[in-house]
Amino acid sequence: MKRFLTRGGVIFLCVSTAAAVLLCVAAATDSGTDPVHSAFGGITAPLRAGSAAAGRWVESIAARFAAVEELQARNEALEQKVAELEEALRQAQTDSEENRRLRELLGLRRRRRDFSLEAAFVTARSGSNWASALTLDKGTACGVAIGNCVMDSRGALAGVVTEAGETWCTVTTVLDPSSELGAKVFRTGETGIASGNLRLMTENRLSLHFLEGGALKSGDLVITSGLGGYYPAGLLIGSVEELRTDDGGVEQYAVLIPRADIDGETELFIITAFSVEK
Amino acid sequence: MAQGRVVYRRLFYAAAAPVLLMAQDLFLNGSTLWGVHPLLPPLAVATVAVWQRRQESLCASAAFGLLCDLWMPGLIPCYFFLSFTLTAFFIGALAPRRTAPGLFRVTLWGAAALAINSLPAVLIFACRDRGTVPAALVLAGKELILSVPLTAPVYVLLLPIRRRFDRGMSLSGVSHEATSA
Repeated sequence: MKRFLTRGGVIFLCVSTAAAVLLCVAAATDSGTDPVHSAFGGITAPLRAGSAAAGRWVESIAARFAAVEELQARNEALEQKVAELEEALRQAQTDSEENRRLRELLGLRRRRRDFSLEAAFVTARSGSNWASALTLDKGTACGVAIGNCVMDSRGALAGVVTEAGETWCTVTTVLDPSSELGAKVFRTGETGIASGNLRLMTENRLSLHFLEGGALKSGDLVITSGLGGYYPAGLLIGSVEELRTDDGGVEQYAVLIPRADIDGETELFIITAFSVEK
Repeated sequence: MAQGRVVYRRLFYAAAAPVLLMAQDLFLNGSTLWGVHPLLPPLAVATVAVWQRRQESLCASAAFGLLCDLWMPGLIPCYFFLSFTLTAFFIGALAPRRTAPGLFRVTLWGAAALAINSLPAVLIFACRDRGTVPAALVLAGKELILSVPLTAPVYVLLLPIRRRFDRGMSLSGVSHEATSA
């Protein structure tokens, strides 16, 4: 013990403790990303990007040897789906034209939504099982800011930026227990709060609370409500899987299947700016 | 001579730390079973804590915890610093020091380290919402079951360091060369 005291061991322990306290204070007093995290993230960002690129290269090679029959079956199913979507598109064009004529009749202005998008690759996934987060390879240098929504290529919401360095950002996904978003059921217009849940996170699900009525059906789409103007409206969060009652037996909530593939996505799109005209 | 061994041992353990974190990032974070992925860092902390002197393992665990807090932030800013220091403290206090532990004992202490590592998270969720405690305990159990088998590769990775630089040193930290001299 004496040797430990005289050989600088206690000094080393004090330095480590001081660094840990500094981390805590910086995180508590600064609403953004603390300087230590930002600096460390900036140093490790190229390493993460390099290792993620190597991983994608290996995966792409392995994918080429995937079962041919499976690909053929998927191709046939997709061709059928395309045919159905083309039919739906033709109907939608007819409906859109009718909508335009009716708006003119009623004197309504056209609602428009514009997004500024920044494409980013996923360089790391959450190291902790108690949270759901992704690290992307774009940061404040590309206009990314805390609070920006992140979506996948199909327009489904993946999460929200909660930390941003110069060349990296951390996205808390919709599955994270701390995640809360204003949501709306597309079919009924009912509003609620879509939030992560620790139990549901391991099942790759999230919950929808504060439902006014009980008219939800399995398969109902849930989108962001955009109330408050913090997040754009109309981003697809997921679809209803089932309705459950909480442990107290009082409140009913819906279990949602997220539309974005949180574990599989390698490229996401950060909404750095948006405008909605009504 | 003994001092040189100590320095090289610490350097090699320090070099093993980022290797473990890279392995965690590249291979384990994306490999989930029951919605949970295995964790390597607590196993490394337990292995070093069982093999090395109490004071040295405490310092190593604190430093490794800081590195983990920066590389893969946990629920609170100093999560891994606190849990790893706690782990090293308990293992240092409870693990017998007379014999050099093999893989089986290291695995047992690895399981203890995983349990201690999950404890702060369970407490945090209990404070936020008591209803999440059962789910938190289930998650901690899944993490433990999935991670314990990985003690073997961690043991294999760190064993050459111990064999090379701890040869001739007892667990009390006294070099046999020094005493014979």
